Amino acid sequence: MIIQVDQREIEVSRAHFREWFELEEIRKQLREAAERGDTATVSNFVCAYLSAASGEAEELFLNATWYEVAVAYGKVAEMNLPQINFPIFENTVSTLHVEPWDYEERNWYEWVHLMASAYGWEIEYISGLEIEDGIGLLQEILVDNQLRREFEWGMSEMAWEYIPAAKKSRFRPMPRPYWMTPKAVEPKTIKIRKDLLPIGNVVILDEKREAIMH
Amino acid sequence: MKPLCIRDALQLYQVLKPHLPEKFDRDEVAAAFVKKIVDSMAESDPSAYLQAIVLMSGKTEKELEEKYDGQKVLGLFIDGLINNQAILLADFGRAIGL
Repeated sequence: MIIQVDQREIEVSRAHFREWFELEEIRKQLREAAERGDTATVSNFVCAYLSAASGEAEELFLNATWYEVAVAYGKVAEMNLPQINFPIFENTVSTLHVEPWDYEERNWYEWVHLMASAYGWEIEYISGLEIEDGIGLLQEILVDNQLRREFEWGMSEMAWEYIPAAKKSRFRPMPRPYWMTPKAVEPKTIKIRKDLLPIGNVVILDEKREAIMH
Repeated sequence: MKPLCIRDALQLYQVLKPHLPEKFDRDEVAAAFVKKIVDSMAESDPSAYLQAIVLMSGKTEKELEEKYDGQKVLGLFIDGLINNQAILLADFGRAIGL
């Protein structure tokens, strides 16, 4: 893809797995800065993103006309979006929980560790994967790991809760990550006969709902 | 008047943001769009008007007070919005979550 900035035509190629990961880290920081309303940092990250994607100096983008930079950013960011909607990225909840062994860029090494353990690939090979291949395979590894843990969990005593009243054990399934749980479906609209509908004043017991309605 | 760089443009967006219409009517005449912004600024934050012109023109407040009358200042404001493609700037600012 060719982007035009400051009367120059710059060729930008689609990122591979490692580059894509770095670009996504920049976009994440950009979003955080935007939420704070920190325009100077946002503009720095927009230019850092384009610089990382194109290999050009950040100054080129910092000094160019803003709409050229904005259009280029939009095009490059769109080009580097995964073409598949991976469930692993759907409804992700950031816990902001920091482990004592966390460090900058740990996420990347965590991903490489998973892939290298699963397939025996070298870091250079993993870095050069296509974006969709990298994410897809990573999701499969996580699914495999989860299902294996669930199997092991099912074999342990902890998974079976004894209920004295019934003199039976009940299976407690191992919790799944959010993206592996079934999606909530909209309840079906069904017809109810009029004479079966509740009559009289409807009293809402939930205080919050009442507060919203008034 | 030259279009702004990304840093100044986003700063301009922050100044204009509270005064930009919720939805843009693409067929609306530029004058009506500018009037909405100026009216909103006059009503809630007159300093934003001057701040936006200083950013877009690169002139100081003192220069504007000494060398330009009200009509010329309004002219600078309108030119600045046109040169910096205010609607595109608003779209971009919203798209990146500012």
